[in-house]
Amino acid sequence: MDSKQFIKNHTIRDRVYEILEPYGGRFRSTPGSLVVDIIIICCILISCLLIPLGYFFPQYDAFFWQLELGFTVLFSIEYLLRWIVALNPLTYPFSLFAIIDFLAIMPTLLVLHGDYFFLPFFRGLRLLRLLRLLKFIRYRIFFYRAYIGIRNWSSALTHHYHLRQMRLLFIVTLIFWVLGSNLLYLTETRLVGSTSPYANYWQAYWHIVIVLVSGIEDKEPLSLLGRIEVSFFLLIGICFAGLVTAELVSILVKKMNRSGKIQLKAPASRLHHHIVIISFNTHLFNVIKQINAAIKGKNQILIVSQRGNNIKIANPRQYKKVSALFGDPLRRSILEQAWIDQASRVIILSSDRDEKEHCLEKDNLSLMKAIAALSLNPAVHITVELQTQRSLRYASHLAGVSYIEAREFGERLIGQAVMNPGVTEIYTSLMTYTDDSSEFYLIPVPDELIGKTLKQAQLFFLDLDEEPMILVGIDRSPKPFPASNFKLNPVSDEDGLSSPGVILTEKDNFILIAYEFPSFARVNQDDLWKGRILLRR
Amino acid sequence: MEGTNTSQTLNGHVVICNCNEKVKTIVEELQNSTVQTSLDVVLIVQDPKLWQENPGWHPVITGNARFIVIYGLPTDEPILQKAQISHARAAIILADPKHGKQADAPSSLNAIAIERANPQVHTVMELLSSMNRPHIEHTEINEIICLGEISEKLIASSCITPGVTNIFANLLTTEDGTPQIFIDPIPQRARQLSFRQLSRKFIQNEAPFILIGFIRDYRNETRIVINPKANGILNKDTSLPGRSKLITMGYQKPDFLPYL
Repeated sequence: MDSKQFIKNHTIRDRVYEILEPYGGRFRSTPGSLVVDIIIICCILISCLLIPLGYFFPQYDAFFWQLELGFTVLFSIEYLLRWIVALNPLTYPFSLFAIIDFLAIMPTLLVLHGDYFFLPFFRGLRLLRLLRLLKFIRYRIFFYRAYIGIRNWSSALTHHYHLRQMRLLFIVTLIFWVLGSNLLYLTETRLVGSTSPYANYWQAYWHIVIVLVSGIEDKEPLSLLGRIEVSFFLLIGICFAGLVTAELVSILVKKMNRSGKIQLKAPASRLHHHIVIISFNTHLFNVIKQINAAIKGKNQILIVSQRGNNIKIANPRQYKKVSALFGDPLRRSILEQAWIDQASRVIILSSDRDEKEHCLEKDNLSLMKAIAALSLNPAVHITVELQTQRSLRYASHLAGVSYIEAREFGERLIGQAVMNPGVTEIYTSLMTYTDDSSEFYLIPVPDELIGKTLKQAQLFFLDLDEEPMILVGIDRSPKPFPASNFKLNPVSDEDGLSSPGVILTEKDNFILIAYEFPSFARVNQDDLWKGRILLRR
Repeated sequence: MEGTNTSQTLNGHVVICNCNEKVKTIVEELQNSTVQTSLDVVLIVQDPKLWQENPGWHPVITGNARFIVIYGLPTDEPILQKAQISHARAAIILADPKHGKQADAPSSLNAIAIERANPQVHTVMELLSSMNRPHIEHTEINEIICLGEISEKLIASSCITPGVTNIFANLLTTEDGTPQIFIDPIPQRARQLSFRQLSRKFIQNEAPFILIGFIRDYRNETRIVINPKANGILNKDTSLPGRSKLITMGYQKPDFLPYL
């Protein structure tokens, strides 16, 4: 099998398909897909907007018609492309979305090709173009994401700049403005007449806004009642100006107090596919650095700690996608606020808050946090840092959790460094995520290699120059527990998964040394959708 | 075989300076290795009380390799001579628990003293604070192992690729039937061959090891290349001269010749 063909098999047709598929988030779709979605959505909106514009500005009808033809051509190309790359081109035209796509271009096509026959229904046909709005059904996830994104953004903005009070002040002022303007207008027109500066409705609005914002009288009302009313609004205006100034100063002080610290998570902001780091210790910053290097900062990182409001950072730019949640991670409400149920991964660090605490106590606390996280999201992969190997005896009963007890690895590494001098650098390189270092990856056996021998697969990867990688083992673990039944460097027939002549099956996984997650890897869409796979690209 | 008699001649042994909870596992790994020959170990203990009060740190000696305990300061030349450092293969400098979190300074001084006594010895130092690594890297210490760094890297690796810690644990253990990473000089017959050529030969001849990289000198610098790319300065097709080393993954120290 040609390696170039192997890579291309997964790119030409699939790429067009991927680009035309609605954007399902960066874990599932390419940025090109997002661009195409935005273009199509804009075209749908503009083309629908042309219908009322045609009624209001009949003098531009010819220009609108030219635009309409352009949109029809675009939607026709989109329809044909979708048909060509469809998984089953025979049944595609009868699918729901294909019918909707056809309905979007049909009215204009009817007008173009049968204007004599359909002339009496011409106006009706134009209205039928509104059926294009049905195309939005395809982009429902995009709209949902956009809604969540805007909500998160506004919530974060309100939280970080402490805009809640400002928002309240703005609403109160708006109410007083509308009430005051109408009240003055009615009072002055009834009691004074057209000579009053408030006799013009819009002028009344202008004068009252000046009173409210500056606390200075703009134009004097002529009636006594009007003057009493303006005096009242003047008092409110003075209070309002003072409150705004105080609030602005308060915002600035709060911002200064938080400078050099990790931003706090806005209470209403919703997270998904994020990485939750529970507890705080000196390893935190390097763990974040490593994760960011591995996934290029694509996933949000949330730190949940009782010291969350006071985590100091040297370079805020490196922590743009890192936020903190202040609170006890053992409290369910805090874990719910951390959106554990939507998280891709959870890391539990061994807290160093109480230095006098015994190692076992620290481990027990970490394990309790793991149990609490699992109770909210049983499918999430959890990594727990432990202090002592003794805790592993009972910790191992918690399935689907990886435990890191550094001492165990360190002792073994020291032993190996004596027997194989220089080996620590190799291990360090394999553990470090950079663009120029290789790491271990587990991927399902690609379709093209199913039925081949391990030896053939090794030779194949040796010549795969586009993505350098070395096949070092086979993993036959059950899906929820990766690397629990594997063989590195299979040379004998024991366990049934060894020997270079072993035939690869669909259920097998390869253990590879590669620079990044292989692009051709057969990835379960559900896993991607649920954020079970973290990717750099 | 445990003792304190240092009159016996030692050669190619390992000297461990300072005692802490890691001594037991390290000595047992060195002496019970099924992959390589067992090594004699000399432990230099500063505080006899600390060593005696912690029987949990004492290794269980099962084989014929010797385990000798010497009491004294590991920076003292007579003590190092007593440990026969001039004939030692390697020296491990562990963090002394007596110094708490500030043990990196005395450990570094121990390592420097050993390097002065025998520059040929391979020194491996346990570092407590990763912040000190850049300073210590400028000394002659050969390998520095920081548990904190390992922890950080493994946590991140496990987060990105669940299950990967099992792979590292499997590679690092010296138990029978588990592979390890080996670094060996390139055999004469393989000189001037490239990574791709060597790898192909090993795969086709069903060698019991996997070639995963090489170490080569380039412009007076030693470069480690794991999983070489098809392009770049040191790539898959760069010929490997005489002083190169091959990095392999296997169950035993590789014997390249039958598979070339």
